[in-house]
Amino acid sequence: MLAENLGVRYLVRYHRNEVTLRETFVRMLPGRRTPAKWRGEFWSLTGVNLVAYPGEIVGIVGENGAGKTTLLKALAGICGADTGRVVVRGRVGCLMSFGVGFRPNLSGRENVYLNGTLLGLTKREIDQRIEEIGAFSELGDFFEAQVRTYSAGMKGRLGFSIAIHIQPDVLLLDEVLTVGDASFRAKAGTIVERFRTEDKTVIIASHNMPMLRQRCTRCVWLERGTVRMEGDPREVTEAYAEYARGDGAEE
Amino acid sequence: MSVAPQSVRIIEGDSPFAHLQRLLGRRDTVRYLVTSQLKAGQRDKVLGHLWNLLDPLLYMLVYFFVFGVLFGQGRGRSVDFMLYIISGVLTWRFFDASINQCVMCVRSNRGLIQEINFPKSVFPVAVCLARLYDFCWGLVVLLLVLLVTGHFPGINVLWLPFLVAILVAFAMGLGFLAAYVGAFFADTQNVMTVALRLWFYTSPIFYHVSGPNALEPLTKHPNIKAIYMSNPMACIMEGVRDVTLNSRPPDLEYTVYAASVALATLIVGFCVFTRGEGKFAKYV
Repeated sequence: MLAENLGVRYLVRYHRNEVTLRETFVRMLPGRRTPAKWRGEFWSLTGVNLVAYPGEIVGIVGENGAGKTTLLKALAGICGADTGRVVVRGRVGCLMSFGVGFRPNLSGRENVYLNGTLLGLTKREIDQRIEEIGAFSELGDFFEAQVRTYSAGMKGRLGFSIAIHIQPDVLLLDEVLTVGDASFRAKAGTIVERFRTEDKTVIIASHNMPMLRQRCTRCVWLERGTVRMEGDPREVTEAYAEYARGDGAEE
Repeated sequence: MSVAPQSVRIIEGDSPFAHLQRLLGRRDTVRYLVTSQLKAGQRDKVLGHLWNLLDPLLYMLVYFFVFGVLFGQGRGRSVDFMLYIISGVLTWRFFDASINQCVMCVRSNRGLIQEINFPKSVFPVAVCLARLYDFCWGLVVLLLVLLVTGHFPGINVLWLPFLVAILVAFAMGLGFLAAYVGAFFADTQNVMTVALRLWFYTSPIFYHVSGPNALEPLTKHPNIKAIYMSNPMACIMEGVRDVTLNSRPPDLEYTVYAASVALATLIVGFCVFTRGEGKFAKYV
């Protein structure tokens, strides 16, 4: 199947802090100009253009707060775009963090069903994959135990298992390949490689430069919500590393 | 770009119809959410599923104790009035629990909302259906109690599913609105608690609105009664009592009125809620 991120261009208005009823009422008063502080507009991404074709592994680098996670969320459709639009051909699999969305009172198996249907699978599709997901996550008997008894790493493995087994055409990963123990990391790495050979698209946001250099076919450097540099992974990561060093030295 | 290839997904502001279609495509999700809510409540309990029956039964006993024994209304019109209160309280409990849980349903699922893209409208729907499950058990207990006390509801009890459907539509519509506002303002919960309390006392639960024992202002002024019955919950409760306790069909005028208000609320609520679909992930 074909996976393509055609022209992506949007601005995201993000995180309006400390909005209370009082402020809302005050803002509604006629003739009252809202102070900029209260409007609290923050454009996490401004006019980002990004195209990713099947068979590509795109790495996204940038400082904390540069908009990496927001970009992934907008690509996944979790955040609506405030300007521009996102077009994705095919199914998007998205792994943002380690199992935040799991229900602690349900077993691993039940959570797979819940998350799977939320991700857009039908019950039958999950029935077919459930054993595979359980095996891949290496949870063993804990697969039937309530998720509240899991360690952070176990939740992460289960989350990653679900994300890859929905057979997405576009896989979005945020920092996940750098966490988890060494053997699981290696396994995750081979999965990403398999996605590339199967002509699917993977987009990884990470601070792990060696991993990005090794895995990616292209890199994008985000800074304050815009693309600062795009191109060969080696060139981009080196330029970014140099910039980060220079930044540190100045302070 | 007006004609998009079939499998292309465009994330943009969509019409309520598109949202409805997406929601209907997630019936499996709703089912798992409902069962997960019900299971989460039962799993660790010693008595497990028995609580489905025990809970409404014990609830009824509390009201029987308070009003029958403490307030001494147990003798005169006794059992009838007990059943009157119990049917009202059961109906109210479904409504109250649905709205209260809807207020927080977007916030309490923050983790999922920030991780996965899916129609958020599954949450209010799942909340209301889970509460409906409890409510149905309550109705079963009520009907059993009716049989035990010698009240045979008769053929008119067949109206009951219809009245319950009106109630669910109304609760779900308000639930959508409450969930939307609750997602953006944490204060909503406090406001709703007070509002629901007021609503509770202005609904016919502890007093009669018609017949010889009706509340005095309601019998004296027809206008006041008309205003009082503009509360859809009053219409629904009276209807539920008619078809169970009184073995007669529900008042047509009230029922049609309640049904239209419920439908309008559901449509407006859903449309408002869908406006927030893309925004929830940013603000919760």
